[in-house]
Amino acid sequence: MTQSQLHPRTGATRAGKILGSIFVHAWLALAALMIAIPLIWMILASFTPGKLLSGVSLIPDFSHFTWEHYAYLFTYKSQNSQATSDFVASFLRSLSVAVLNTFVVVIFSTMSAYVFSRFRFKGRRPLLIVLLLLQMFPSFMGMIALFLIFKSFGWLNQPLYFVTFYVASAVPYNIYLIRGFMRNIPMSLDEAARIDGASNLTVFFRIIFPLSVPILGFVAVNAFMQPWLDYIIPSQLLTPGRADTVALTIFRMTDPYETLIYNPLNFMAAGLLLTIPIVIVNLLSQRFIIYGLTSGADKG
Amino acid sequence: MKSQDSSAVSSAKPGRPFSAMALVSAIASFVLPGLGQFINKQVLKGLLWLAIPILLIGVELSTSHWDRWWAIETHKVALPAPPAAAPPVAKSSEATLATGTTAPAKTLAAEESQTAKPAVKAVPQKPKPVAHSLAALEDTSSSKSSSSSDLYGDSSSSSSSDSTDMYGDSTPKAKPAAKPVETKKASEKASSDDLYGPSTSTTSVASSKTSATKSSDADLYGPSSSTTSSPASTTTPTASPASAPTKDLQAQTAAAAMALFVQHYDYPNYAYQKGKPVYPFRDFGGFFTRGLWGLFSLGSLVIGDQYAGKKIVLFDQTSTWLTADNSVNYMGNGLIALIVLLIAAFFWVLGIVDAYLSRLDYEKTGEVEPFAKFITRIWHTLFSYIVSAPAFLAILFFTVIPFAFTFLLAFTDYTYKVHVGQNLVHWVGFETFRFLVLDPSWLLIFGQIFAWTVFWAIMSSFTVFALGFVNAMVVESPLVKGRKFWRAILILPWALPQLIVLMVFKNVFDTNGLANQLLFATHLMQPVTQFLASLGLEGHPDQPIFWFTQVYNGALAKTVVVLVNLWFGAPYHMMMIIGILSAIPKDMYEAAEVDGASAFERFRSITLPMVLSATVPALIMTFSFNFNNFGAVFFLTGGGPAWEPSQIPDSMKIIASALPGQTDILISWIYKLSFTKGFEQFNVAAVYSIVIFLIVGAFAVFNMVRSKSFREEGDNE
Repeated sequence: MTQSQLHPRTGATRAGKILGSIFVHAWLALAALMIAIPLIWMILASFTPGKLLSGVSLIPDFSHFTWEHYAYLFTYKSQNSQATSDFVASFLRSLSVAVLNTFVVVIFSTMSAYVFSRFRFKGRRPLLIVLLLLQMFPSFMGMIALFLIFKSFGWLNQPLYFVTFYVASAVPYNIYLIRGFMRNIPMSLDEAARIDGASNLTVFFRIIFPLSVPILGFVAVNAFMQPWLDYIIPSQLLTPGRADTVALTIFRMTDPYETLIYNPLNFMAAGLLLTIPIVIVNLLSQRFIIYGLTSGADKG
Repeated sequence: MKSQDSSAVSSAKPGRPFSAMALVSAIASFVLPGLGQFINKQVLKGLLWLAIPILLIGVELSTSHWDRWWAIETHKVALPAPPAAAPPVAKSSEATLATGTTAPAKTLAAEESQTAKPAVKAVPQKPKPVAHSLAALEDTSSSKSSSSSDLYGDSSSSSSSDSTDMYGDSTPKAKPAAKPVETKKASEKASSDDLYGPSTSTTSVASSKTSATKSSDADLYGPSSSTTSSPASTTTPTASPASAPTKDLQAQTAAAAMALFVQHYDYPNYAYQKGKPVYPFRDFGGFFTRGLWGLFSLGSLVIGDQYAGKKIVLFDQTSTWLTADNSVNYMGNGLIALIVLLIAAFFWVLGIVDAYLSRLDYEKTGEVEPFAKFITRIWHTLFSYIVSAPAFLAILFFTVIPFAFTFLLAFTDYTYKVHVGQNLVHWVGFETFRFLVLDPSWLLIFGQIFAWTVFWAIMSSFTVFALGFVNAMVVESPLVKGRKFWRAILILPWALPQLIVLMVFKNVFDTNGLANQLLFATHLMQPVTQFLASLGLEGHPDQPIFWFTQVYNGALAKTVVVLVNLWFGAPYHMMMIIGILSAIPKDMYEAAEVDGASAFERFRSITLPMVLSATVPALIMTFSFNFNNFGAVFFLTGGGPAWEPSQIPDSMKIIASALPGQTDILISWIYKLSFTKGFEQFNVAAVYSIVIFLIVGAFAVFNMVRSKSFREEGDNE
């Protein structure tokens, strides 16, 4: 490995660098194009009049732009007695479910994760395996029983009660994830607090919880997203047209059998309205999320 | 108990390592939870455990009709004897007893005698009047039943509505206007004593008793309980056997008046069930007894069945035992009852252990642990369990029980053919498994779906990982200008909600959608269709391309599903791999460069192994996630395109629209089998769910056991 050997290589790299740079940027441009085209088309479609996909022009034609689909979303009421439009009502309904779910999931899974990361108790290992198994399966595998349970409690058509179920299905994975994070918080902090006379709960609320905020950000975003656009549970536990969640509302817009509200262009508008806040939240919380993803990968 | 207590204290003084008294208190706790604690003079603690049986029995009684059952057993309610086989009903009690052994056939007489109502002992008898008028009367009275006051003060109406709703009828019941409290208390107390009284022998007693009082129809209008006095009992005695239509009319008006006061509860008359089974748990049982009975039997009576002198109907609000059995509800309630009982049993055993240990402790130290100290001790030792209990209770009720229910469904014959009230579900053991394995057509379709599911899971995991890797390498390469911008764009698909993305792509690949428009606009349609056809992805070179709709485009649809998943899933892996790349120490590369390793060599021997070793768990998770990635198929293609009709075996055509499409993976087929209105195959769906459970579960456990954090866990313990 002498100097003379290195020189030709750096020379080769310089030529390679230009080639590589071209390749890299071409690749990125192609990828960006593939990502952008469907989204741009979605935006165009939401401003296209009528209800036909074939009417969407590929080149933006601003003279024919229309707000009718957005207007529809904010004005269409299937029943005159409603205070707000169908879309807004279902939006608020889903929002309340999602917000409630976020709080309950964060509290439940942090408490349990604290226990699993800091205490030794009988049955911990089997419980962890059970948790891991449970989070592997799609929720609707127990749907029939879930329907019976909701019916017997009189919870059908009341989306807020779905939180019970969402919590049950979200907590296993989150316990697992948060536990992995908490194991990396030094035990010496706990011990110091305990010497000062702190109880288990004080240690949790004063030390562990504040230190876990990065992972909790990830958990909270996930817990919000899970019910936010969940389709299956509402589709089985709600009577169509009564107390629809926003996922049901937009799904019905793309269902050709729903002759009254079928309009894919309305869906595009609704989809955009729903997507934009989510994209903003996701990109803002990216730091938390990348952290959560990598720690999830680490800990399996 | 008091005497036991004092003797316990005196005999415990010697203090041996093995204590007989500890054993006694343990046994006492076994007999009745909390009793052992009482013996140990830990009254509050004892009450804590005593709450378990009190709660259980309270729930059982408040949801049951055992008080009515007790009323029959103690002959407070006399039931009319069943009619003989021949229409003339008025017969001597001996004759009734003699003929009663033959099963009461479903003759007209039997039909008519359904109208027979529970009778009061004291009320004198009257021969049978015209039957159909009574039937008509019964109709009107039962329709008024919700408004009629509950003289008997039964528990069905006083029980909380959510517990009665467990039987699937959610209509709220009218609260009784007046409740004779003594009656209720007495009967409740009695029924708690005789909860499991032998039913067969008592039935015969009841029947002989009722036959002694003779069959009478005037009793129809009588109140159900002897302790309640009613206008009917004063009017009916005047009715004479030979009375003509006027008397009938009188009786009718009296009955109409009574309808306002009497609750029209039809007592099951087991005298009609001679030689046939009776189901006291079904007729009177509460949440636990009826639930367990239902879980094991899955119900036994359907609409139109003759049972205990009456006909079973779809729904009877007042006399719940007349409501036809709903097997699925029974199964659900039975499962919940069973699990609640198991939890109670677990605490019961804890109570036994506690009684034993605290007695030993007492004998060693001579001190009884105060309750407050016990609570703090429990809080400290069981802190882990108490704090995680809410989460685990939610998991138990909304995840584990539903899964267990699905598991049980695999052993039943529950399909779309079962209509509530008209058919019953049966336990069939492994019959469904056997059918699915032995029926060649079902096995063939399952095999194809399964093969595609595995292929899809591998392909989708591999492609997203590969593209994510490449994207990560490219965007992190030092050559890139404006890295933040590019990274933001590449991450964008991940930030979008999956449901909306998939539904947008459903429209993109619509016949009129973006894909076809773009191909037409760029004049690429001709070459692309020819290319796809030559690859065999497209059956015919149609223009426009029918992405998800034509039978011959199955392979094309599958490709598109994988590609859309790639669009959506790659950013996640890209982000993950960027994280890992940034964790690789830079000096490793420098050292390699100094050693003369080329860029490719550096990649092969540093980057690749580092990334792979860090992402293998995530890859396995991705695989098992994609194996069950219901949304990726359901929202995009809905399973379509359909199979070639000739490929569908005849034995499967009965499930019509629940048939899988060519892009359906196992989980989305299960969804179709479970929720296609009118074609549900719950048992088949449950069997396939078990298959998924085994496969995915094996992967998950394998992944976990080999993961680093879990192995550390094991070392610590």
